[in-house]
Amino acid sequence: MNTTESLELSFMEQIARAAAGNLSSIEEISQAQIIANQKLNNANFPSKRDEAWKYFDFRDILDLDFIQAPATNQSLSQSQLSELVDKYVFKETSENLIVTYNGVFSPELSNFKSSLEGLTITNFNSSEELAKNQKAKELVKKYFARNIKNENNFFNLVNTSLISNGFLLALDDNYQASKTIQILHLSDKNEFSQIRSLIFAGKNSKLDLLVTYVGVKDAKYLKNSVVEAYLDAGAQVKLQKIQNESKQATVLYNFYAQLERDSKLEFDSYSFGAKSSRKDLTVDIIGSNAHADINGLYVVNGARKSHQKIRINHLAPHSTSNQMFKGLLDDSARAEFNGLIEVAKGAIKTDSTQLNKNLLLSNGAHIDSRPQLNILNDDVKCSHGSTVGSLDEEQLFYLESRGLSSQGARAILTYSFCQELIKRISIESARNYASNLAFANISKQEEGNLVFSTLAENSKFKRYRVENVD
Amino acid sequence: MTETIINIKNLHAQIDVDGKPKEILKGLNLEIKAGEVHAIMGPNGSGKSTLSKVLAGHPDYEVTEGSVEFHGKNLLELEPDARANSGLFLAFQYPVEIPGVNNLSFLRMSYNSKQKFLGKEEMDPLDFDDFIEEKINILKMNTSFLDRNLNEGFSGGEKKKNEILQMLVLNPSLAILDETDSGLDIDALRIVADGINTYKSSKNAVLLITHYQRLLDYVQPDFVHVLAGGVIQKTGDKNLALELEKSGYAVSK
Repeated sequence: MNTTESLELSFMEQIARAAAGNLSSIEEISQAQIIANQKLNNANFPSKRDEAWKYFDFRDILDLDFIQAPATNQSLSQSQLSELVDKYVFKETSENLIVTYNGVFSPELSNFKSSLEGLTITNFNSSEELAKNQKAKELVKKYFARNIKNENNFFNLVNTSLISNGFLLALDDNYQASKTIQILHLSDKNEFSQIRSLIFAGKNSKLDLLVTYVGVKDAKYLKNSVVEAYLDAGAQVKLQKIQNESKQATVLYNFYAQLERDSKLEFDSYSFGAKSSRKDLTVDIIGSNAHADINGLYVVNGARKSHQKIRINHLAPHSTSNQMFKGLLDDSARAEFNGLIEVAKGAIKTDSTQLNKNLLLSNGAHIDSRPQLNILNDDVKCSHGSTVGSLDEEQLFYLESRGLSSQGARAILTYSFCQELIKRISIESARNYASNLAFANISKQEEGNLVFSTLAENSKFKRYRVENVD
Repeated sequence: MTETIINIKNLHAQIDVDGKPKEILKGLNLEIKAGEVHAIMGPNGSGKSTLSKVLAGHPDYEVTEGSVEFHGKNLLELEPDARANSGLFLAFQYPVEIPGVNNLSFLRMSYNSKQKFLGKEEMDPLDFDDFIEEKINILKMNTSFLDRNLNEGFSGGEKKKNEILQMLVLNPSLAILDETDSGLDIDALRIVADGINTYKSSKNAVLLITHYQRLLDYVQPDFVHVLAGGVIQKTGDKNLALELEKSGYAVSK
């Protein structure tokens, strides 16, 4: 038996052992755990032979020596936690801030000034909490791991088996969040952590969420997140996620959404950190006239890797979806885009687009892009495509002819490439945060830095003056 | 003696077309002195745009023979940014869109690149606001232009005005305007012409590349050249433009 096999086996054994001792006291959760455990029992550790994991480097999981050791908690002090919160909260969301610490809602660290009327926020894997909250109990019963029978993603199943805390955010019918709510997920469990969130948006409710995941800087860890989002009829959910994890970490993110009729999901993901990151995004459109916008920007340099696997299932007629994924790769970074649109029988009048654009700043960078369609139905409109290229020569020349150095011009165009997606972020300071993170990942020259920081200021004519008058 | 701004001698330039070099400029001579306005007219494909791109340093064109002196220095050995910072400006026939890049920030970076090149102090955002406001008023442009992204979603006329705005910001010693008048309605044409007339002085020069006489009604040229077959075929005063308008390029033969 070679080293890899023994590491895989050891990983599987530890999962099985941990899972056996982790059955939830909440029946609705333990039922799903039992299914997950059975599936894991029959599964092999994923490998490159699996189509879905073809380009994934498993050393980024198996080589992390903590797999052998039990998870320990770093336990940040209260003041360290407050400092982290101050650092990562945006000024526009400072009064609409929900903080979770190792997956548990922390009222002390949160600052939520809006009324909580119509909102349910709780740890759903706690019988105490559920005893107090009938609504949460019903939602967990109905929705937790709803797709478990179809779920075959190894790490998604592991998350269910090893669930510790569960973060529930639910909106009553017609609840309309007027401002962007930030959820800051802080974690200092640095070994192998399972983060679980359940989002439910009631009928005609509206939510604008900005989710930031923060881990301990430069720490080695394996973070395995699962987010489930259920949109009831007419609900509108915007979920924007900015990932700035430690550059030594491996981060797995599983997202599953179900869209009822007339609902609208906008999911925008911005990935900057992690040594290796992987997103598995699945959207089931089960109601007619529902719409999904699924977008992502991934910026990687060094020898880091970024994987995006997206599957949109159009299961109902008259539904629409758009995907736009953009990758910016430098040095010897590798990235993968693997997107599939599936249009089921009967899903007539589906209108779906999928586009993946990649900008390679170095000859050593590598992208595997696979946009795919599977249409089992006539009377649909689907388009897909992907591009891989370098900076546009005409744009470069235009900028240089305005006196900007070649480095400066390149920085401007790189910034421009990212903005198509960054401009979607609801609040300005988060846009600047994302712009700065993007450039921090690629810049090497001073001149480029200068250009980028100038552009990230997002100047407006006479703005400074107007602000001074105020 | 009036200073020579640019002196082009026996300029030959080629571009690759399907992997084969194609010569476009075939021995072009042109001298422009401070205070002068030159207009170059000529049929399609005669090399007008090639001349402007070669002077600005477009990487697709290769100069095979001849020389270009700009303020007495060899222009051809300079990179495009150094040419711009030394005082050469090209208003593009088709200005390029740069999505997501704020126009105001871009203009300030461009201005400051030149300042830095010349060893002068860079301008801070507050002072630049006043500086740019004065320029934008000349072109009767709304200041909301500045908060938009560089040429992104601009109409044809707006793009051309933005080129002239850049010219006013950079205040070059030689402004080459490549068909800046095409696609402009009569009001926009007047405004653009006002911009050019505000800019021009006894210390700088303008090279207008155009198909039409109408711009020359507003910006009076000292010389009109007919460029055909990669060389200047004929040179005259502004009356040559009128003649060309009436009789076509046959007069130059």
